[in-house]
Amino acid sequence: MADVRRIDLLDPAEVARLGGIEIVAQGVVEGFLAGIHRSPFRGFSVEFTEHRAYQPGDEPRYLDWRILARSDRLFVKQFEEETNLRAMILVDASRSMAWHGAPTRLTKRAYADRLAAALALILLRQRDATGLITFDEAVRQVIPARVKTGQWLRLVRGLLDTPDGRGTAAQTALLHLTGLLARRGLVVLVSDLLFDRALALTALRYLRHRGHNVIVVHLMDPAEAELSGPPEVRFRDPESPASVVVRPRELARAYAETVAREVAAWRAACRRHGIAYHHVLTDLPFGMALRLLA
Amino acid sequence: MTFLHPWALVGLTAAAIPALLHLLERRVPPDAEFPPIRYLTEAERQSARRLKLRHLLLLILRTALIALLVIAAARPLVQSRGGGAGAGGAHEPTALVLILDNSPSAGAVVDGRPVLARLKRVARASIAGATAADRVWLMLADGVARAGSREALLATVDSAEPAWRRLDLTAAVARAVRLVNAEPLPWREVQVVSDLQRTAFGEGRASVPRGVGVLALAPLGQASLNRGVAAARVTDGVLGVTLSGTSGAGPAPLTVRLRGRTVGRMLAAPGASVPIPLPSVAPGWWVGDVALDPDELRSDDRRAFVWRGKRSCCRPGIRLSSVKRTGRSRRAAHAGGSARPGRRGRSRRRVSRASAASRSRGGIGWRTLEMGRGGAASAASSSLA
Repeated sequence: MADVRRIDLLDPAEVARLGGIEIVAQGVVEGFLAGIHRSPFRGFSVEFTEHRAYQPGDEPRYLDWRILARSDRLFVKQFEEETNLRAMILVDASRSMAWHGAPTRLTKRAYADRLAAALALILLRQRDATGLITFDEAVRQVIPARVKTGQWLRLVRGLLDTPDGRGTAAQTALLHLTGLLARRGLVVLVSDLLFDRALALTALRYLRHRGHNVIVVHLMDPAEAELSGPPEVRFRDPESPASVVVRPRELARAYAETVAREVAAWRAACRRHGIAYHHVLTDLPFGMALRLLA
Repeated sequence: MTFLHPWALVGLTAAAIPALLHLLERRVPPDAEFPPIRYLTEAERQSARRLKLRHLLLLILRTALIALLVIAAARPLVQSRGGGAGAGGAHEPTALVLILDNSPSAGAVVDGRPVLARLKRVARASIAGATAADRVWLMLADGVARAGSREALLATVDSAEPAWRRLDLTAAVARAVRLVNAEPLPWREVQVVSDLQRTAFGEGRASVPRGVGVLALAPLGQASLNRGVAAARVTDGVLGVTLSGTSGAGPAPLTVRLRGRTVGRMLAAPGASVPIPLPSVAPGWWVGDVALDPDELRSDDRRAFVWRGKRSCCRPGIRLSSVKRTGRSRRAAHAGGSARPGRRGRSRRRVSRASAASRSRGGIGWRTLEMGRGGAASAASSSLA
C-alpha cells in the first residue's frame, strides 16, 4: 500500500504534472532510494557512515551482526561511496523523440529528460562524477562529468536548453563521447534507437572496447509497439520526407512482429558485446525504469 | 440452366461495383507523424504479398457475392442429368401434375422449330425424372389429367400434337392443384409447360394452398408475328372475312377457294374485315376455304366455310342466312356438320352428337344454333372450337 503512494511508482505523466524536471527527479529519487534502501551504483570503495533500522527487503549481508548479538535488534550498515565513478548520460534529442502516441502520455524526450535527471541525481548523491551529452544529428550539449555542487542543476539546465532536433546520428555523438571519456566509466544511452543499428553498435562496441560500462535504454511509446489508428492513414517520418500509406488493422500483426524482432536484435547484439540493454515503454513508472538500471 | 427471371441478370453489371470502387477510390488518407516508419516499411515489405493476395481474394469474394445474389434473384433452374427441375437421382416422393399446353399456339414455328417440340422436351425431362414413388399426371389442352406409368406418359407426350382447343391455364392449374393437394405425399408440385400466351389465362385466380408448388416453364424467345383468319361468313353472296393477329403485322395475300377453285384474291392486314363477292354457282351446298399465306402459326391461316347455292332466285349468289323455311331448307341448314339431312329435331340431335364426337377427336367443332322463326333460317356458321 505504501508503494502506491511512492512517486517513483506513479504514472510518469502524472508525476510530470507535479512540476519541473528538478522536482520530479528529486521526488522520484527520494522514493526510489527509500524503496530500495541502498545505492544501486557503487564505486570501487565504500566507507561506513551510519546504522539504520532493518526493514524488510534489506539485504542480510548488510546486517550488523554484532549489534544483533548485543542488543537482539536488527540494524543494517549504510555506506558512503567514494567518488571515483565517472558516468556520462547520453540523451537522444532527435525529432523522433518529441513524439507521443497519446496526449495523456509523455513524449519520449520528456520521459528521457526526467529519467536522465533522476539517474544523474542518484549518481551525484553517490558522489559519482556525472556528465551529459545531448545529440540529434550533431552533438548539442556537452556537460563534462563533475561531482561538484550545482552539477545536477547544470545537467538539468543542459537538458532544458536542448531543443528538439531533426535527424538522428547517434554514431557521431558516440564517437565524440569517446574523446570526452578519457577514464573508464559508465555510459548510459537513452534513445529510441531509430537509427542505423550497425553504425550505432560500432560506436557502442568501441566504447565497450575502451573499458566503459555501457547501458542502452531503448525508449518506446506504447503506440510504437502496437500499431493502431484510422482505417487508412499516411504515416510520415518526422525526421525525413519518407511517408507510407497503410491500413493499421491489416498491418498490425506484421508490425508487432517486426518491432519484437527489432528489439530482440538490439538485445542480442548488445548482449554479444557486453552491453546492458533495457527496453522501456514511456508508460513505465520512473522507479521501475531506474530499478532496471540498478 | 435457365432462369425464371432472366431480366434480373442485368443486375450482374453490379458485380463490377467492388472493382470500380477500388479503381475509382481517390480518398486522401489523413496524415500522421509516426517515428518508427522504418519498422512500418519493413512490416509492409514482408507482408506485401500476403496483403495483395488478401485484397484480391476479398475483391473476388465481394464480386462473387453480388453475382450470386443477382443469379439467385433470377431464379435459376438447373436441369439435372436425371430429369427436369425437382427431379434427379434422389428426391422425396412427389405428386406431380404436368400441364403440357399443346393449344394451337404451340404449333407456331420459332427459329425453325415448333414451339411444341420444345415444350415436349421439357415435359419429357420432367416426367423422365419421376421415380416409382412419385404420382404423376399429364394434362394436355383437353384439360384431362392422365395418370399412368412413366413410360405411358412419355409416350403421350411424344404423341401430342397441336390441338384445336384453347387451354385455360388458370382453370387447369386450379384443377391440378386440387389433384396434387389430395395426395398424401411429402412434396406436391404442378408444372406448367406452356408458351404462356396471354389468351391462355382465363378469368379469376387459381388459389394455391401452402405446400403445393406451381412452376411455370416457358421457352425463351420472342413471339413471332402472326396473322390468322378469325371469321369467314357468307352473307348475300358476299364472303366477309375478318383477319386477326399480332398488331404490327403487315398485310398478307388472302385466297378464297370454292371446291378447290380459286375464286378470289386480295391483300388484307390483321384487324381488317374484307368483303369478297362470290361467283354464281349451281344450286346446292358448296364448301370453300379462306387461306392466308403460311406464317409461323399455320393453324389459323386457313378457315373453311359452307355456302348453299340458291336453286333459282332473283339474283345470283346464294344467301345462306335467309333461306326460306321449307322442309328441305331446314334440312339443308342442319347439314353443316352432317352430310345427311334429317328432320328438324332428330337432325339437331345428330349434329350435336357429331359435334361432340368431333370435339372429342380434337378436330373441327361445329356449332349449331337455334333456327329462327318467321321463315328465316338462323345462320349455320362454322367456327373453330
